Amino acid sequence: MKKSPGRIVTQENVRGKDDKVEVTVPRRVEEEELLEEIESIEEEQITTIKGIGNFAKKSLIVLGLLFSILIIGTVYDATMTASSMLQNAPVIGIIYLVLLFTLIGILFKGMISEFFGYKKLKRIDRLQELSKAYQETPSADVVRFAKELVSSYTEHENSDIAKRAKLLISELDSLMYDEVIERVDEKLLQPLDKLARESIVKYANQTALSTAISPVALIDAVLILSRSHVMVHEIAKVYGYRPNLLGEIVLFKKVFVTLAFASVTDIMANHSHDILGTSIISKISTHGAQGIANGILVARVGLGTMKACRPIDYHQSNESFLKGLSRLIAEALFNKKST
Amino acid sequence: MFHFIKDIELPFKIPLPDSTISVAVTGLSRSGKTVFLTSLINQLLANDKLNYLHEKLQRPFVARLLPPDAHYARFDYFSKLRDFRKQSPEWPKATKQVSKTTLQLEFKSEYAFLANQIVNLELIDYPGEWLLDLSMLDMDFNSWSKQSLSLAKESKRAVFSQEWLTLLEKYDLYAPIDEEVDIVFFDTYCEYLKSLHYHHFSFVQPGRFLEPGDMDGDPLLYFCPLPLKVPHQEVDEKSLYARFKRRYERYLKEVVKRLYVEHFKYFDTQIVLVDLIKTLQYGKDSFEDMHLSFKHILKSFTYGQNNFLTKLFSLNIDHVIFAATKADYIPPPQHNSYKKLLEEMIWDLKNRLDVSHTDTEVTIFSAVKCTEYVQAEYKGNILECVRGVVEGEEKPSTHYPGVLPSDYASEDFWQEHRFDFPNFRPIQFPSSDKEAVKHIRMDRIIYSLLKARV
Repeated sequence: MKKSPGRIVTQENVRGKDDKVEVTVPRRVEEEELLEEIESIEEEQITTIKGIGNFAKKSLIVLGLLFSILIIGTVYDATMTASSMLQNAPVIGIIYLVLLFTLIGILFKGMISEFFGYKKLKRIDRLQELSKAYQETPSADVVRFAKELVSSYTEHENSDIAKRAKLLISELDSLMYDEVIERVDEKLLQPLDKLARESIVKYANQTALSTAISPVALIDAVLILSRSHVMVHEIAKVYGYRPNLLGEIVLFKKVFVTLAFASVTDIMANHSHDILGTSIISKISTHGAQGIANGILVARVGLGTMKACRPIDYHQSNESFLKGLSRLIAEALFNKKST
Repeated sequence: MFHFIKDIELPFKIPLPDSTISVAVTGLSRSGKTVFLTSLINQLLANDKLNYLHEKLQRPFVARLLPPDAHYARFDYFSKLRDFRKQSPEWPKATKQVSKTTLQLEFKSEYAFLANQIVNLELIDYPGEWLLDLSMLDMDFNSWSKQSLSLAKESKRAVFSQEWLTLLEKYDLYAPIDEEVDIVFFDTYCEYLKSLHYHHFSFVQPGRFLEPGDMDGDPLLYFCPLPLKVPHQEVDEKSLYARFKRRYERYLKEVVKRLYVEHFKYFDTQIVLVDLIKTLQYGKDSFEDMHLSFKHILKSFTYGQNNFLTKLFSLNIDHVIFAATKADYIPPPQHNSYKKLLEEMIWDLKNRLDVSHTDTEVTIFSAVKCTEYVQAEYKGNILECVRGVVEGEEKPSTHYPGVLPSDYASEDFWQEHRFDFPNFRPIQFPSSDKEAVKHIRMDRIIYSLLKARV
């Protein structure tokens, strides 16, 4: 029996000990049974996510300490080498120093760039806070805020979004203060949400299909992580943010924090009961159901990324989206399996 | 995924029940009810300047005016349109009677097998003066007299009411007196009301005294508020008091109640038009008096959510839009301050409606945009101005209305700020039926009216 995050427990665990277990693969799964399976895997996933979060935190501290020791050692060693070279062979010593400072310059530039990338991500937090404040108490500053925000999308790689942003800027002055945030959300961010959701559907489908047919739990884990990584990057780009290394770490942290704080009850409220009502899903095998759960996990990572990257706080319900998504995945799986 | 359902066609279309929105266009006299209705019909029929509405609904529609109802006078949109299309258009004359019309909107169905959705917008126009009479329904002659006399004695009104108050002291109101005196009292009281109206006071009761409509010269109107009789004082049947009391009661029963039952009882949506420009022009007294008027007017309607039972027996107003008219008199950068002034005026009314489960909105608009926003340089300063043709003139001129404060907390606001708003002439309506008149935020107001049903 596999114990990886993406796998649903086999049917023996779901049923009572005294039940007679009839193993037929693939077989028809009852809706109640499927719900229980998904519920248990959700719990497992949450525990795993929390575990990963704690482990990542501790690992980062240890790595940070090790890296600091390494840097101090390298600096000390480089200084000693440079000093000895300047004494013995000044020309080579100077060349060595030039190369050393160039390297330091490149590293410094990289660090600066990482720092600004990080600051840009932190800016999203500030924007979310400000937009919330302006929604509660609209004032003249909201127009300036909205113009600044919308102008960052006028060069968006999606030409439709760029066009929308340009049109919206010209409209902002004619709006009442209390309409500004709503209008930006409606005209600009909702189309961005649509693009982000398309990415989520794409990667959730890919994950569901590939993990449904993969026989090894480790491959599942690798697939989930790699698809999630690409998806997070893509969604961040949709919202106009290109994460670098440090930014990506921070972004992943935010996404996982969002996930870890989502209780099982929230998840149940979000989509388990939708799955219960989805007759197509109840007709496919447990193996397929495992794929669906993995797809939904990736989708949840995607929604977490949306929440982390969206400059105006996300207040729409994801319920209907996840309901539709689980249907889409099930349909894709069902078709693939039958062909 | 299930988009194919939208394209399924059946040999017949499944019909949908028509829905009706009864709109109470509420406003005092000269607040722009007739212009609002004319522009509303014009916008929906031409359907070319309703960007916000189209964006929100995402469903094409056509509008048509339904044939007039035989029981009521028809709101004559076409003659008003003709007047607005003249070379030198003028604002419509004061409304003198109740008129109605129904605008039918047909929305394209989202599903091929469903019939198109029909929404009927029931609209009513009437003299704004009559609206204030509705709140008299809750008062008997004594309480109405008490309220009117206490208002008449207030310092801001005393200068106009002096003659009438003196007349009240001259006669014994409870002893037998000749009926010929009645008209003297009526005329003096009417003069007082006309002075108030002329000096831009809004709370003037009974409104029929100013705009009698088909009751001009009717002896039923020969009454006015009288001081309360002393307890145990004998009142002769032939006294002024007895006659005025009888007429007041008949007036309420035969005129006001009939008006209410026939025209004002069955509404589910209300738009309250507020002429804030008037209050800015004429100061705090005008502002407070208008607030008092709306306070009384809103008492006359029933508010709350509609359910199956309320729909069967009567309707509650479940959606109220407070809208400041003439937004084109204010340069756009000050529109937020203009809206804030409206919020300042109606905050208590809005709160009361909010607790009675009524959706409320506050907005500003201009049914007919008769000015353009311009910036003018004056003594080295850039001023936010509006440019339009002032009534009585031929060429457009630029006007600086003054600066509205962003916060009305200051007590000195009404003393410090002086505004200048000339009466602008309306712009000429486009001669083509395909083109509607320019407006400010009418598309948003129309969306607010329709959103619950579409």
